[in-house]
Parts: sequence; C-alpha cells; structure tokens
Amino acid sequence: MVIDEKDKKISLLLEDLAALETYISDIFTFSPLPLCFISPLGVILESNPAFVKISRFSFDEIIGKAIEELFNKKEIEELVNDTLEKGTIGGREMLFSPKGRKEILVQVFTKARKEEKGEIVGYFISLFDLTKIKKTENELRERVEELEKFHKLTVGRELKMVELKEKIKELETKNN
Amino acid sequence: MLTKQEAEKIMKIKGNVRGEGLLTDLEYVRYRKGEKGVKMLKEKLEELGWLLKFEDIRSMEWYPIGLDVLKILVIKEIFNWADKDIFEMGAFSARVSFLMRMLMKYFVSPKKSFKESPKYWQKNFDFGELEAHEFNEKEKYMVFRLRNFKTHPICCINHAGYFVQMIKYVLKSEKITIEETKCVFRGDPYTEYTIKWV
Repeated sequence: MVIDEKDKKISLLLEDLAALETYISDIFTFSPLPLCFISPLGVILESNPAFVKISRFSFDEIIGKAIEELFNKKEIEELVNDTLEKGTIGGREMLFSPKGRKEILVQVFTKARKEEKGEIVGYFISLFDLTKIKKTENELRERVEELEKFHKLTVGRELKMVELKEKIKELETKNN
Repeated sequence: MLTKQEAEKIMKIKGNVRGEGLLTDLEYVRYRKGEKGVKMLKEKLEELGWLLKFEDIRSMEWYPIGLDVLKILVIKEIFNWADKDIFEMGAFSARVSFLMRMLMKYFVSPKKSFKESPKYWQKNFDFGELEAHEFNEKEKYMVFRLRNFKTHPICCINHAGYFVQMIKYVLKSEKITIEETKCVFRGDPYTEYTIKWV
C-alpha cells in the first residue's frame, strides 16, 4: 500500500517532468532569436534552430564546437569574463563569424547559469543580427548627407540670387 | 534479417533504460531519414511483434533494455547502416539528450566530468556500473570500465559514440579517439573504453 502511494507520486513527478521538458523544448525551438548554451570550458552544449541557421553550421557541427571559433577571440574572452563577473550582459555589439561567410555585426546578450550551490555551470548567449539595421542606418546616413549637400547648394544659390537682385536694384537707382 | 524469434530473445535481456535512450535514436532517424524513416522503423518493429507508440514514450520513464537493443538492430537493418552510423547515432544521442542538459553542471572541467560519469550512467540505466577507472592528463588518456552490462555487441559501438561526444564537451581537442580495449563479448570480465586525445 505504501509502495503504491510512492509509485503514484513518482509517476506524477515523471509526468510533470515530461511536461516541463516539452515546455522548455518548445520555447527553445520556437524562439526566433538565436540562442545557445555554453559550458564553462567554452563549448557549445545546446543550440536552438535559429542559432544553427545564423551560424550556417549544421546541428551536428555546432554542438561541441568551441564558441571562440564563432567570435573574435579577444572579444569573446572579454564577454565571458564579464558574464562570469556580472552574471548578465545586455546588448554588446560584436562581430560574429558564420561558416564560410564574412563577419556580421550582432548584438550579444548573455546570462550565467548557476547550480544549486551557486557555482556557475555555463552561460546562455543570445544574438540579434544587426546587419539589416546597420544597412538601413548607412542608407539613411548617405541620404542625409545628400540632402545636406543639396541644401547647401540650393541655399547658396538663393543667397546669390538675392545678392544679384540687390545689385540690379542699386544699378537701376543709379541710372535713374 | 531479424526474425520474430530473435526479437523475442532480445526482449528477454534483463534491465531497463530511460525513455530518453529510445527518443534520441528516433530523433536521429528523423534527422537523417525524415518521418518516412521513423514510419519504416515503427512498421518493422510491429512486424517483429512490438507495437510501439513513439509519441507515448516519456524520456524519464523506464523501458526494457531489450527494446533499446532491438530498435538499434532494426535501424541498422532497414537503413543498411554500417557500424560508423551506429557510432554516430550514439554521438547524436549525447547531443540532444535531455538528461545531458540536466547534468551540465558536471561539465566544468575534464577531471570533474570524468569523476562524475558513474552518476550519469545511473540516470540512464537501472543496471550495470560505469567505473571512472583512470584519468591521465599528462599522457592524455582516460579509461572507463563498464561492469555487469552484457546486452548486445551493437551497444558497445553505440556507447562508444556516446562517450566520445561527452568527452568532446569537456576537452578542446581536434582529435579524440576511442578504443574498446576490453569487451564482455570477447570473454573479458567487463567492457573497457580507452579514450585518447592530442
């Protein structure tokens, strides 16, 4: 009878655990933002589909890869040290190197993960691709520069015309 | 070709494995062969007398080890896979394992991971003991011994793939090799894996 009760409780706990597992997996898989989990030794232990996509590696290749292979070595060292020290980093701009492609600018977010005793057992890294934003920013900057040039030219012409009109008036007055 | 009689014999092997062991291999079949491959596996298991609802398998529940062995043998047969593929399937399991994610806290150093590996075994199987036998950082090798675990030779290959992937999580090395230095199916008292790295 006692064993039955215990079995029931274990069975319920297993059901809860399974539900929790599905829930975590669904969120992780669904997230459109690239997200991965890194061990304290700097190895990628988990990656969501968005991270696999942005890295251009296959799922098989990305798991077990050293994170420093995807970033500038100095930048990633700084990021890891800051994450371990502060616990979380929000929105740091860094260069990310997808497989076989030119580096891209990303915004990086991190969060250290601690075990029950407070020891850091790794950290999450999430990326936000800034390529499109930077492209739009550059386009806007160019447009503004063009407008400024145009403005200078047109305003300059206006001033010249005013000056000429005044000269004509002066000459007309003299003639009269 | 696997027969019903052979399947029955395999199903009599004593011991249990977490549902996780079944699910990760299914995931690998899906990864390489798609839903069609999963369907083929299900149909073949049914043909051998084992109606298995994959969607009902829970990762933390215990299932007969025979089912795990049978599933690997069926996969090998229907897809005509070589040992290399079975090894890769083991490695893939360690990549997607939920249990592995829960045990990430042990991946802080190679030595700690090595020391804690027996705990990991206990979470996956309710029989057999994994012994973290020797860790030599200077000579760059480690030795695991697996005792009281005699199921099927196919599992030796699958486990080797799994171990290598686990080691890859804690060792930054371009070349990690594994050798089955002793095997219960070759008359040794236990199975022994020697892992080397450069």
